[in-house]
Amino acid sequence: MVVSLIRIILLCPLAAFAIFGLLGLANRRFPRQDYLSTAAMLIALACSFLLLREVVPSPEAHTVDWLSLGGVTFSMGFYLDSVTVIMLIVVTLVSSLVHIFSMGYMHGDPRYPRFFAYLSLFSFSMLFLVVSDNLLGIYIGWELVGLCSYLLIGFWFEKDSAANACKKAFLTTRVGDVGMFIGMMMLFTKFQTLSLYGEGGIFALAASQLTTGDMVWLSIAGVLIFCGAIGKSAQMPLHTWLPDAMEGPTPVSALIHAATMVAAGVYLTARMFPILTETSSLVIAYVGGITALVAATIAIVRFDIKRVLAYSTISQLGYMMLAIGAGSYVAGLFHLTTHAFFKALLFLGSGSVIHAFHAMHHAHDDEHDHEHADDHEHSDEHILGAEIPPDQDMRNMGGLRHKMPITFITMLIATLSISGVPFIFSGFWSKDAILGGVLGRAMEWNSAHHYILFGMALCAAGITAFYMFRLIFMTFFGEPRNQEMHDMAHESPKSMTVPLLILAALSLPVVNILWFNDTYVKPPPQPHLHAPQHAYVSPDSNIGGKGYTVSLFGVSEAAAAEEEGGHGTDGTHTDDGHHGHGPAHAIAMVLSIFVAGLGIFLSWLFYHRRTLSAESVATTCRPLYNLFWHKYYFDEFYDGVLVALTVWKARLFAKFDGSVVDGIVNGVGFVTRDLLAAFTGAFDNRVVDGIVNRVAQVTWAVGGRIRRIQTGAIQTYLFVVLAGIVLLILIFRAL
Amino acid sequence: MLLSLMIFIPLLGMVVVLLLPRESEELVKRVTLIFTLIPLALAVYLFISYDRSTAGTQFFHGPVPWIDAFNIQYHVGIDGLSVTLLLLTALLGPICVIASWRNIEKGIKAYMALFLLLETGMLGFFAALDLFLFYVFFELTLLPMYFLIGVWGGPRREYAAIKFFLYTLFGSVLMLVAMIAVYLNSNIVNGVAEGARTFDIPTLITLAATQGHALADPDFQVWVFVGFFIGFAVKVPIFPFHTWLPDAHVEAPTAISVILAGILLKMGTYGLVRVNMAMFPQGLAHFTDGIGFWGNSLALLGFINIVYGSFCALAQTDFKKLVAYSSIGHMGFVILGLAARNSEGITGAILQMFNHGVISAMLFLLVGVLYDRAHHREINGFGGLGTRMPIYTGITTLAFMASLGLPGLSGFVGEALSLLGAYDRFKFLTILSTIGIVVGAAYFLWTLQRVFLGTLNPKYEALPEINGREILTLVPLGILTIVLGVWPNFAIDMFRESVTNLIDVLHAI
Amino acid sequence: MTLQHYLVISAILFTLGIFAVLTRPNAISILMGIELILNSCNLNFAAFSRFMTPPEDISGQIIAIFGIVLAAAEAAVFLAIILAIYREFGSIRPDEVDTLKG
Repeated sequence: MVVSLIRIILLCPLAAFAIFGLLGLANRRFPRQDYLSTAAMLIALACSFLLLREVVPSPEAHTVDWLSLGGVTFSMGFYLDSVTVIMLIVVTLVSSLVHIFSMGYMHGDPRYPRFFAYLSLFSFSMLFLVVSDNLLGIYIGWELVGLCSYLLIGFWFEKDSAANACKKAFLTTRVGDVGMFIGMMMLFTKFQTLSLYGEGGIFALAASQLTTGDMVWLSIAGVLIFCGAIGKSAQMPLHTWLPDAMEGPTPVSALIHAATMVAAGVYLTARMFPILTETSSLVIAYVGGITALVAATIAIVRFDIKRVLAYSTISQLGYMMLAIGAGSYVAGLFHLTTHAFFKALLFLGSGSVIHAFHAMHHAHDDEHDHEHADDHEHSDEHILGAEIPPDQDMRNMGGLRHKMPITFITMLIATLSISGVPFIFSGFWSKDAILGGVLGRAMEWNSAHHYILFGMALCAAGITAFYMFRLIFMTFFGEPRNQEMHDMAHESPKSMTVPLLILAALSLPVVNILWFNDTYVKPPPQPHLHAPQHAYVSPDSNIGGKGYTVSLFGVSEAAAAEEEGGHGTDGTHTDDGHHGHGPAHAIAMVLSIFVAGLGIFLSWLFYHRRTLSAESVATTCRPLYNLFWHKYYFDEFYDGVLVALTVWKARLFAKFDGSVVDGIVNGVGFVTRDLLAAFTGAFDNRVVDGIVNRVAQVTWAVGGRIRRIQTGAIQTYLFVVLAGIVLLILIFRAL
Repeated sequence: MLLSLMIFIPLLGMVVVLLLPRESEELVKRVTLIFTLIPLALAVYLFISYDRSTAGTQFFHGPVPWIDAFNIQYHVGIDGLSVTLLLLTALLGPICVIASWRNIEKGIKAYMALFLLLETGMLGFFAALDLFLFYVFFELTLLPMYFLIGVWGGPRREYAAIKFFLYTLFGSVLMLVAMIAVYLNSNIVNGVAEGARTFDIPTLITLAATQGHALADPDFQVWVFVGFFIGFAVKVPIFPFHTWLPDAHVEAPTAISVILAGILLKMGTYGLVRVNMAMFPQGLAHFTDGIGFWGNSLALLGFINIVYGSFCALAQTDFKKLVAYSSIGHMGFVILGLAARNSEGITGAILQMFNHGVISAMLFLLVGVLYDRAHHREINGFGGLGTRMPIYTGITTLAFMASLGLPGLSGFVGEALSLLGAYDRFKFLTILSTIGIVVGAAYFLWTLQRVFLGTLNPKYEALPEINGREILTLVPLGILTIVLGVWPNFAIDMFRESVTNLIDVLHAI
Repeated sequence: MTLQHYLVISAILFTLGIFAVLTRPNAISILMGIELILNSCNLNFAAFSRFMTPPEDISGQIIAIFGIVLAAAEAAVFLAIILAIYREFGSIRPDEVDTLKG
């Protein structure tokens, strides 16, 4: 049952894509590819919900041999636990809504069917990634979602900016993937398998075979695997592709670059949780923390509505990484789900806004015959951030709340959620879980690192609230800044507003109820996580005892320890519970409410009341502003140094190949033909042939003398013959 | 018998084609197609009925005495490795004939006749079990190839053809010397000559593993290994013997490029496996034991091929040359995998051989499609074709993705296994080799962008879409690419036992 | 009659033949001389066979017969050549046909 459900979930979207691909070969189209793809997703969604009922507390694995060599077998299989099911639901749900939204948003695009086919392929890949029980399967899904991301970012490939962006996205993530692959090679060489679960899986083997001497090795492997997540989840320093990825259609940004694919990195990191060591956890946490903070600061100064959201996504993903790195496994995944819903909502909302402006453009600008002609005006925003398409520029917006009430309300809900406005929005709970978890670990381990990380997270939370409300204020409040555009704007059609409303409902905590049930999602043990020296766990105690982790609302030992019953608990850590009453959580909650409030208040002052002037602050802090505006000069560095260096090296190699290597070959040819052969030829002519000619001349001369003997008279000859015979006889007689 | 039939049917076809009147070009093409389809049918039959559970060679014909004075025999048979490559060869035969249907302008009769001769040479090479026969078939491919490039090629065809011919001949001369050395030592045990000398490969493999036999002498093995290696290295091609390849590819007509990349390069790596590895395990060990410079040299060559080929490809602006350099890069994975000497590495290398044959054939066919329409191959001279030729773009994207090693397509499996195997022994070099993966993605995506993305070059507004005949040549390869990517066991089943057997030989020393 | 008698006859025939070949200016006469030489040889064969080998071995006689046949064939060829020479040079005197002169 479970297996066939998973098969249906995977095969439906794949079939939708396959139909498109096969008909495409014959240059045909399925009449309603949009319905086909959407129906496939809805079936997958229904099956995912069925799985929610099916899932049992103990994970199940179903494998087939995918690739069997003489000694080694790589198996492919499904692994289904609560996290898988939740991810399945998130992916299928967001994907279905995006499908429906796209029917309105993409309407009239010349490649409308192709868009849906790509969405289907993406959904398949993402779902495959989610259900895979082994690293190889995850890697396959991982790269396939990368391909889909590439195809969808470059969906309007006539634009050079889109063509650049999709290439950049693929290559940047591939750099991370190579790191991940090296990590996989390390694990494979050690364990001779890439399966994660079960008796012979990596986790079991790592727990049983590795000793403390292997910790450095395991840390390196963990960090390398995490490299894949750095690329895919756009963490520092491989984050630069995600803002550029906004060149894709907005529903794609919502689905792939906000809700699902970029979250795959977090999912992977969570999956690798059992083999994360203290060092690799800390690396992950720091990467996440720095990303959260840096991306948030960049978001403050963006004017392109989609780019603000893109940096916000990077920042939130950093948050999740931070959570997992700090051991708050459940909180990280919780934030992943809530973020998927509210960020998809934000993107779709921004899509709705863009669509409103966009239609205006279309009406105005008839000479642009292409549906998305206005997008041609894009230029290399990714380098300078200078030119923003007018329909995405928040400076052209303002006062839209009356024109687009549904979009406004739903986006406001999402903003409240992401900003962490307390209690009635899901984002508050998940963010608070992370903050509480990090602080909890800091207090428990008394570790300076985790206090720093907590500070970063808190700052990022405040900044997030600030720039998100800046977005809301600039877009929906105040006076219209561009009257002409404002007049033309209108609320979007139903196919677009309905998904917005559903997503808005999903941003309420009540639908995320599963996460509040501590028994549903349980963090796996981390046998290799060594708490700092003063930890109360004796180093030689068993795996279960060592596995301390932070659950949703507090620090607790791993499930295994819990089952063993009261071993290792001395009350220094807060108790887990549904309402987070531990000291860490209380502190975190108060602080987070405070920074969120501060952020919102400042945003209000700057962008609504306008008591403070953003411009004057920008002028005062010019260097800092420039730093943010230029996105910490990452793009400049990559384009100017790394890409240039690679291309330079390629040219050098090619030149070397053409002149040196081939030069040697041609040189050998030259030496052989023009020198050696010429010399041999001359030698042959003069010496060898000379000797031959000499011999001939001598023969000729001698012959000239001897020929006199030939009289021509037969009888003379005969006489000579006779004389010869007589002579011979005489000679023989004499002998 | 079946095997011999398969090998010599193209030769018969050549005779038939030569007897046909010069004017009836359509007939010539059809007859050629038939005579390439028969080996394909036989190859499919062999593939299906091959017993996957054993490592031994099957479908023997012979040994039949051929040249008694030197104990040379006609002896053919296939194991798992050869049967896959035979299938590839037989598959590419009709595809190339179809691909040549319209764009060979002069002397179609001679072209087809030479092509059939070439096919016999290739099929025979992969099936030969006698070292001398092996060599004869190896050389037999050289001659038609020389004419096919030199007569039907591009502007610099003579240069390219002669370069190809001389380069390969240089390699095969060393091979010949090594082969004679093997023959002369094949009956010497403990310094005493006994019995007859032989060229028989299975026998030689056994002898080379026999204690005290002259062939089992480590020093001897190293030198003979080098002789054979250079012969095959030219063919693979391995840096620094690779420069004939870009020239030959650029000048050769499309179908011949397909054969060149799809099969001829595989002859080099196949020879490495069949002769260098199976016959001279100690020679191999000397170059792959990871000790010192020589112990890392084979892996180093693989690494250089990967990185060097990829970087060179990145710098190319000629579409075909880019694909040619990408071949060099991809063959590097084969070398790296073979150097690993373990089941992952060797399986990966063999898979990579097969997959590269399929994928590079696709790539060259695709380049040919574009060249037939635009009459140039300058990457920067296109742009935005994605709007004009969506199907062509789709298939090209598939081929590019397969070639850059996207999981789910066949290119990935071979690369990944080769790297996995190699990492076990050559950690540092393998990690460095992964640079090739990124650069590989870079040049393919960059090409994709320059040719297909962006605004449509107004020059090509009327460029016709890929036609049915061209799609017909690409679809079988595309299907193979996907099938082997999704279900690699399909191919691995064929040679799993052979690889296991080979590894036993390698580990027996 | 002993072997000597035959040999003496044969020698006489031979000498006559040589004499004719060397001295006669006419090609036909030369041919006659040659025939004499040949017949002297045949005689020798028969004689040696008769006196030196067992009676049942007649190989010498057989060779003699072959020699006669060959002589006939040779004469035919010779005469044909002489005819040709006559047509070419208008003479059958060997000393006038000296284009082989070096």
